[in-house]
Amino acid sequence: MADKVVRVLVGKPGLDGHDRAAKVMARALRDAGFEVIYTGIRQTPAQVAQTAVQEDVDVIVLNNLTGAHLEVFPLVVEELKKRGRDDIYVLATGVIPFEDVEPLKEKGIDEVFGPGTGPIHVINWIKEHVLGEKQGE
Amino acid sequence: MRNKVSKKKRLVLTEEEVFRRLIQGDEVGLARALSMIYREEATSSLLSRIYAYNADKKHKSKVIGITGAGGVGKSTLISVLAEALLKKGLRIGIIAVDPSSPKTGGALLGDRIRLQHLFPNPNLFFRSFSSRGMVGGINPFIFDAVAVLEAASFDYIIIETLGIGQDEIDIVHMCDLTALVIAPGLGDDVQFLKSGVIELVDLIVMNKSDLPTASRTVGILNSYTRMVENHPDIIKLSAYKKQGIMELIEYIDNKWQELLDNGSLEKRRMERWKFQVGNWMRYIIGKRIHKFVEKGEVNPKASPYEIAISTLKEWGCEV
Amino acid sequence: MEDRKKIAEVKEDWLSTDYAKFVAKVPERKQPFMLDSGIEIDPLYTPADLDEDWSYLERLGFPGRYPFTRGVYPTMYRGRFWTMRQYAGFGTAEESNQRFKYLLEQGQTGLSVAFDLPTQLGYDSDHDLAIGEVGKVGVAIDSVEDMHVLFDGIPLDKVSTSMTINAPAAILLAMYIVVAEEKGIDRKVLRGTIQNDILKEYVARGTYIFPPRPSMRLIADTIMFCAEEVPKWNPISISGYHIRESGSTAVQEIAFTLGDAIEYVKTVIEKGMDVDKFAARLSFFFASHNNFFEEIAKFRAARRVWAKIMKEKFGAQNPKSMMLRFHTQTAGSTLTAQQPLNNIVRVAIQALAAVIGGTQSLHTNSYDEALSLPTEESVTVALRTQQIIAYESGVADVIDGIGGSYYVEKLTDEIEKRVWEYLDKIEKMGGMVPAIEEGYIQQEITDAAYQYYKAVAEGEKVVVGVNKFVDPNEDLTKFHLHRADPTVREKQIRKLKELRAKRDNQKVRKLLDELKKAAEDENTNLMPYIIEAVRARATLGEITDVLREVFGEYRPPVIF
Ligand SMILES: Nc1nc2c(ncn2[C@@H]2O[C@H](COP(=O)(O)OP(=O)(O)OP(=O)(O)O)[C@@H](O)[C@H]2O)c(=O)[nH]1
Ligand SMILES: [Mg+2]
Repeated sequence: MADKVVRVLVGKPGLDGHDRAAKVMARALRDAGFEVIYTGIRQTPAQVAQTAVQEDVDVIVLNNLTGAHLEVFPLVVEELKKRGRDDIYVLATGVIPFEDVEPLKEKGIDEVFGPGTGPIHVINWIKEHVLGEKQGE
Repeated sequence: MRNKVSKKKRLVLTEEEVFRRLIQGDEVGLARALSMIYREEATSSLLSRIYAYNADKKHKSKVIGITGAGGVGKSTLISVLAEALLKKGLRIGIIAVDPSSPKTGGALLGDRIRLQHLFPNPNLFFRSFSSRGMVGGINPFIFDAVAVLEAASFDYIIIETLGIGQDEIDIVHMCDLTALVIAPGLGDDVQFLKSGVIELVDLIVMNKSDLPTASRTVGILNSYTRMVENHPDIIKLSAYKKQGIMELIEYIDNKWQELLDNGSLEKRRMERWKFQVGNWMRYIIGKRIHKFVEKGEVNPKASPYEIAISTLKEWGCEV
Repeated sequence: MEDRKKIAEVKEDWLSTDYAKFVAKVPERKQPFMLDSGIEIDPLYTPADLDEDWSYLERLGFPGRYPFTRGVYPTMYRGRFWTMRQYAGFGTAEESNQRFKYLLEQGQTGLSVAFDLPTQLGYDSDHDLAIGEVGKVGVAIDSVEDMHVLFDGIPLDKVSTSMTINAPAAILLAMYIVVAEEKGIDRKVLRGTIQNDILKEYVARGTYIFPPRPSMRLIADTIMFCAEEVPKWNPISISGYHIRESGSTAVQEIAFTLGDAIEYVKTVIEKGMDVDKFAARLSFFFASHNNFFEEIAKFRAARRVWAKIMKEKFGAQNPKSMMLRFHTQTAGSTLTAQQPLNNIVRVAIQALAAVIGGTQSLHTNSYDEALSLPTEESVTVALRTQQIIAYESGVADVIDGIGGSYYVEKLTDEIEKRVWEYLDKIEKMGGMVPAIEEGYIQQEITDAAYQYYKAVAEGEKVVVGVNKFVDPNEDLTKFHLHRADPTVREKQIRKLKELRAKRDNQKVRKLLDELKKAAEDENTNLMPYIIEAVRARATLGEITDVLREVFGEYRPPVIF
């Protein structure tokens, strides 16, 4: 078991019930060799954060398609902070307009993958940041 | 979108911190202790401290195994069980083990979806593991993970594994009490009789008794209990309708107390300990063999027995 | 016509000579050619490729006659075009009300309401889970007071109102009825539709509340109540659209939608209502995707299968009970954020397929939807697309103009066959409810969705502007999102406070208790109880909570 284990939480905060994108994301991440935990739909920020802490994941991939991202995603970061784990990477995916990228990043989201991006971009980002970083250590 | 690449430093905790936070029941420390074990980063001194701590402390967790074929409702059962136990003010730690892809090593760990609605909750801890690297279901980390949860002093420790054959049944060695969950389904309900698993568990939980097809399974169970004298106890319930859950808890509590009082519990835990020593030996030796075969240090045409003997002798074992 | 055998012989000869030689020189682009539904496409279709026992009268017949393959009405669009129904709009009840009034002034007679997620999930706006969601994807409705604002000044006896609402559909319908009655309008004249299709929520859209079985009972209650009390109302719109959008194939879209429909019909019949008393009021909703011939064949097959189900399985006598009437929307998921103008072409092709496929009404998506809330301009282009198809293309001048195409007839048969295979399998599992509880349907859809994703990711499937013909200089930052007024939640909370202070709380409590008792008895129709609670100003959340208490909440099986 010498190879690196990367654990990723796919989280769906908010009331949005469309989970095709989240499930395709989860499967694509698995096929990229990561261990993927999926929260299921309709999660509160606190639920997502506690799950991330307990599962000790490296990355959280948040998905929301109904426009609640600006309110809800930063709350996940806050909940992580409360639990002393804001070192976990938080990525935002979904229907996110460009003008929300900076506000999200300012509130602690590490990267935003909006329209025109797909799981492959997320996978590459994780490989670069989590695996790259570890390899450098 | 790559202009502002953030670079975070993953939280690092010293062994000292991990241990201190773990025994206080702090989630970050607990989660990290499990990661260290799982990622084989745990030092032997951390493990020693945990085992020593557990041996000395008074509080004993009830370690309950829940096994059964895919889709019989293990996760659902655990969620309603946890819900009921939480209402009693108890602390519950759960471990679920799912298979991983042998090709990519990736895994989708979905068991916790079924009880996500119970979070956030400071008294409930859930950790998903993949069976990554396990040979025939045996991987020492999962035993040590139970020890970690014990150190965090949960009242109940529940372990969910997929158990269909002898291979997966190691769960009984990990737990004080093991329940095999069965459910009516297209013939799956007879499979458990053949699997041999049935002889090893304490309890059979017949789930989904709300289904109209459940009577068939009841029939099978009845003819089985008529034939076999020393069969495990049977509890019928419906996790979905939350029927029979209190009875199950009562059964578990009574049985556990009985095992404690008559000394069986201590015996079982001793067996677990021995089993885990064996596990580690197998695991370490297995890795060694793998290594020296890869390096070409042994003649692959030689008889395996010959290599085993000569290697053990080399290691100073009497054979 | 020459006989089949002769044609088959010549085709064989052609395949082994002309065709084979050509392929040897210039290999075909793909090997094999496949539809997403898993159907392999031959290079050419002839009369000899149809089934041996293929019969025109049995399989196609005539428009307006069983099995309705060529259309549900005798004249189709030669009489009247399909209804061009474009819906949009969200925000507060006041905003939507303004928009409705504007549309009515423009001569539109049909209104369409979208609700925000808290409303769709039976939470009042002051619930914790509603943070960030109030007024987001539709209007927020907490009580009948909000419904009054929404329809203020609108003649409910003259308009038809379509409401996209599912799990709490019974409550929203009750509110609509109470609003009408408080305006002095008889419920008997009300026209409109509630989506009320809970089964697809479990497999595709995710806005479920209760477990399937009590949900089915609620739906049966509304269907039966409407049949007696609100006879012009469509109590359900059985939807394949969301199933398709969540990644299913065309075959799965039809199979699972009809599977859902069977379940609804079965449930109502089991409750003792005659099939012909309600079946004509069932309506359907499908997606139209990019594969032109496959989509047309899909619509035709759907009509034929449904007619057979109603006639043979349920013994319907009235031809209207066998007619599959459907609304179509072009496929939002096929629209790309890249090179958005390309979407106009996609929408046009999809709309054309829906029209040739015989749809009763159509919504065409706006080309910029993957980027933002549609602009006035893009909405107009979408509507113009329908008008060009209607007035310029000529396809509306003849009934089922593509009928008799060897390929389309073969595909129609093939899709029908595969739909029946699914339906048989589902029936063996005990129907759609157990199939959903076991996660079978979800797994089938998820697998299809993932296969599609992989095919695109690996370039095997081309999406123009995304994985081929990409514009490297394209600026994707143009993407904007409609912002709901962030103060909507506060306003709603204030209104709720006032309402709770003003109303007769004892009466509300009493009516909710009565509702609870009624819910505990499966054979009581809940509609009258819900209506009374609504009239006494019980909120959506309070009514749903009572039902949650009795019915429990649904927890999905774990499917990836
Ligand atoms: N009718 C009925 N269905 C149940 C009951 N318990 C669980 N189920 C259903 O059975 C399916 C599987 O449940 P899970 O709890 O995920 O089963 P599991 O054994 O954990 O499954 P794996 O983790 O995949 O092995 C779900 O659709 C549940 O809703 C029950 O008591 N009655
Ligand atoms: Mg499970």
